[in-house]
Amino acid sequence: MTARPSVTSRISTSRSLGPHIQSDSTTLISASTAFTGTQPISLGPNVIIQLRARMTSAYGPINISENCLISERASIGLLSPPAPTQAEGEPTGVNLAPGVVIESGATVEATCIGAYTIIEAGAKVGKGAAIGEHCKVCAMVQLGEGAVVGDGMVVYGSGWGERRSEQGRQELEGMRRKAVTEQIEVLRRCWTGK
Amino acid sequence: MSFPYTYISCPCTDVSTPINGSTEQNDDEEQERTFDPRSPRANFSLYTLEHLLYCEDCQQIRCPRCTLEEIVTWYCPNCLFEMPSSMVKSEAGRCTRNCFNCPICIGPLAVTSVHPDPVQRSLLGPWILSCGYCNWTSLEIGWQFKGLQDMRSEMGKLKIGGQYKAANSKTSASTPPTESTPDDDPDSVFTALRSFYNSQLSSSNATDPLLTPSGGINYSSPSSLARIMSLYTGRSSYGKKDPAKSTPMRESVDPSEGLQIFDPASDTAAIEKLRTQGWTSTASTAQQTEQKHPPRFTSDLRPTQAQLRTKRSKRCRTCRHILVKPEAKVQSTRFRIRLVALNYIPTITLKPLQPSPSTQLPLLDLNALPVLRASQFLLTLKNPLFDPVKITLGTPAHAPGKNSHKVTILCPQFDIGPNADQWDEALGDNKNRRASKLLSTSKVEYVGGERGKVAEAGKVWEKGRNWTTVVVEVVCQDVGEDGEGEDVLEIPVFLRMEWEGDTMEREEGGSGSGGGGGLKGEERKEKRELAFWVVVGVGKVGRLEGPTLAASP
Repeated sequence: MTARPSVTSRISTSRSLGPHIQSDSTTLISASTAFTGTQPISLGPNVIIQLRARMTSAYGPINISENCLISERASIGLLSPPAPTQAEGEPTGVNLAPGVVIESGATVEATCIGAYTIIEAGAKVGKGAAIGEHCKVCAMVQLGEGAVVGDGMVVYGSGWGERRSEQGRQELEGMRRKAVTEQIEVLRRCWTGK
Repeated sequence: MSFPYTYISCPCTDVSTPINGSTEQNDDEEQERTFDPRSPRANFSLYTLEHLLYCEDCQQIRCPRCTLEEIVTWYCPNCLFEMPSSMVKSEAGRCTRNCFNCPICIGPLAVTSVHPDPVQRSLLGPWILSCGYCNWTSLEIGWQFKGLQDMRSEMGKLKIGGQYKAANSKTSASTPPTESTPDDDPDSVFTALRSFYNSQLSSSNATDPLLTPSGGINYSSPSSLARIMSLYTGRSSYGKKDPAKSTPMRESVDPSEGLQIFDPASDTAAIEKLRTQGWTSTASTAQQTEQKHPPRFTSDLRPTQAQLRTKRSKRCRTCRHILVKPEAKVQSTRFRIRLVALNYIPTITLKPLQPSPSTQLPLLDLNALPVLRASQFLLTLKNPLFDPVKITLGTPAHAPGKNSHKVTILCPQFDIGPNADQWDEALGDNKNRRASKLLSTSKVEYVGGERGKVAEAGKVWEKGRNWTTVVVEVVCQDVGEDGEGEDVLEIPVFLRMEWEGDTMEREEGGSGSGGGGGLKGEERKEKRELAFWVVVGVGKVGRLEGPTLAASP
C-alpha cells in the first residue's frame, strides 16, 4: 500500500506547465491542439477546436465565447508582445464573440472579433485589430495591426483588401447564425457520434 | 527574380532581318554575332522552356510569336456549356444561360431562393443572385427574379432599385404624357436615342445610298463606295445634291426620344453621397470596365453575364502544321496534339559548385557572387529524346555588358545518353545507378566532395542515364556602384545539338528524288541538328569586399 503515492503528491508531479484552460463540458478540443503560453485560456460552451490548431497565450489571454469554431491549423493568440501603448481597462489578448468561425490556416491576433464573423482560410488579422459583428474576412486577406472593421463589412481582395459594407442583408443575418449552429452540430455529431 | 534561371531564345526574331543581295555576307555576320541578353530586342525572343513549342516539320523551336492561334471552341467558364461559334457574335461573347458575374469582385454568382418557407426553397422563388466570395446579393440593388427560365431578359427590364423599366417608347407614347416620367436608365436612353435618330435619318434623306433600311451604314454596295470616294476626292459630289436642299435634322426634344435634361440636383446628390459614404462607395476602374454603362457608385453596379472562354489550337507560322490541338470537348483537358519543346530540347539547369570546405572560402551566394575570384557552377543538361545527343556549347569569353566577366565552359563538347527505359540504368552497373541519384538540384555539391573530384578542363563533371553535367567557371569583374541591372550576370550560351533521329517516310510518292526507294515506309535514322541561344542567369555580382583592405599593405 505504501507504493502508491498520495493524491496530493501525484497532482504536484503532474502539474502541467501550459496555460490554465477553462472550458465547458460541451467544448470539443482535438488532441493535437497545441496550447502554449502561461496566461489563461477560456473556452465557452459548444466551442469546437479542430486538429492542429495553435492557441498561444504567451503574450495575452485568449477568451473564446460559445458556439465558436476553430478550424485546422488556425493560430489564435498573440505571437509577439502587444504594443506598449495600451490604455488601462482595454481588453487584452484575443477575444472571440459568440459564433465566430475561424477557417483553416488563419492567424488571428485581433483584440476582439464580433459575433458571427467569419475569418476565412489563410487570412491574417494583426495585433490589436477590432472586427465588428457579422463581418467576413475573405481568404488570404491580411489585415494589419490595429485595423478596425465595422459591423457587417466584407474585407476581400488581396493584401490589405478592399472593404464594402453589406446592405439589405438584415433578413439574412439569422441565416448566418443558423448556418454556424448547424455546422457545429454536424461536426459534433461526426466527432462524438451523438 | 530568383537565380539561377534559364531562358531560351527563339530564332524567329532573326527571320525578320531583310534579305537582300548580300545575303551570304549577312548570314555570316548573323552567325558570328553573339546573342546579347541585354539588348532591348532580346526581351522579345527569350522564353522559358515551358512556353516553347517544337515544330517537327520545320525542326525548329516555335515561340508564341511564331505560332498562329485558331479557336476550337467557345465555352462558358461557369456552366461549361459550349456555344456554337455562329451565336458568339450575336450574343457578344457572353453566356446566354443563368451565368452571371459579381459586379463587385467578378466572382461567379449563384442563384438562390429567398422563399420564406425553407422547405420549398429549392423549388420556388423569388430568386436572387448571390456571390459566395464577397457576399454581394442582388437584393442590394433590389433585384428579385420571378423565374429561373429567362433571368437574362428579366434583368434587361429591371432598373437599379428593383422597378421595372417603362416597357418601351411606343407604349409610353400612347400613355398620357404626365405619367411618362423620364427614364434615366442608360440602356433605355440609348435605345430611345437610337430609334429616334434612325427615324430622323431615314426621313431626312431617304435616298441616301449609304444607309440601309435598318439604319446601319452600308459600305459594301458599289454606289456607296463611289460616294465615299467622292467625299475624299473633292466637292464634285456624286449625287449632285444641293447641300441647301437637304433638310436639317431635328434633335430629340422629348424624354421618349431619349432626351436627358441635366439635373443639378443629381450632381449635388452625387457630391452628398461621396461625402457621406466615402471612397468605398465609388466604383473602381476595374469594376467600371466590366459594366456596359460605367456608373460612378458601387450601388449602381449590375451583375454581368459571364464572358466566354476559348480553347485554341496552334499552328506553325511557317509550315502551317498543327503544333497544339486540344480536344474539342469542353470538359476534357487533354490534347490531341501537343508538341512542346520540353520533349525535344534538353532542360538546362545551373547550380553553384561550392568551394571545398578545406579552402575555407565562403559559400557561393547567388545574390552576391565573389568578385575577381573564380567561382564554379555545374551546368546540367537533361535529354528528353530517346536517342543519344551530341552537344556543343559555345559562349563568348567575356559576358556581354560593360563589365566583361570572364566565362569559361570547361568541357564544351560532350554527349548525353538517351532517355531510354529506366530499367536499363537500374539493372546496369553500380556506378551508374549511384550517379543517377545525384541529379537533384537541391543537393549542395563541393569541389572534391564526392570521391575527391576536382573540375578539370575537357572533362565532364558527371554523367548519368540521360544527363550530363559540366563545369562553368566565372571570374566576375568589379561592377562598382553602377546603375540598376548592371550587376546581374547573365551568360549567353550557344547550344548546338546533334542526334540521329528516327524518321518515318511520310511522303510516299514525293521521296522518289531522294533515291531511298528501298527504305519507303520504314524507320530509318536521319542526322538532325538544332542550334539556339540560351541565356543562363547566374546571379548578382557582389561588391568588392573591403577596397581598403587591398590598399592597406
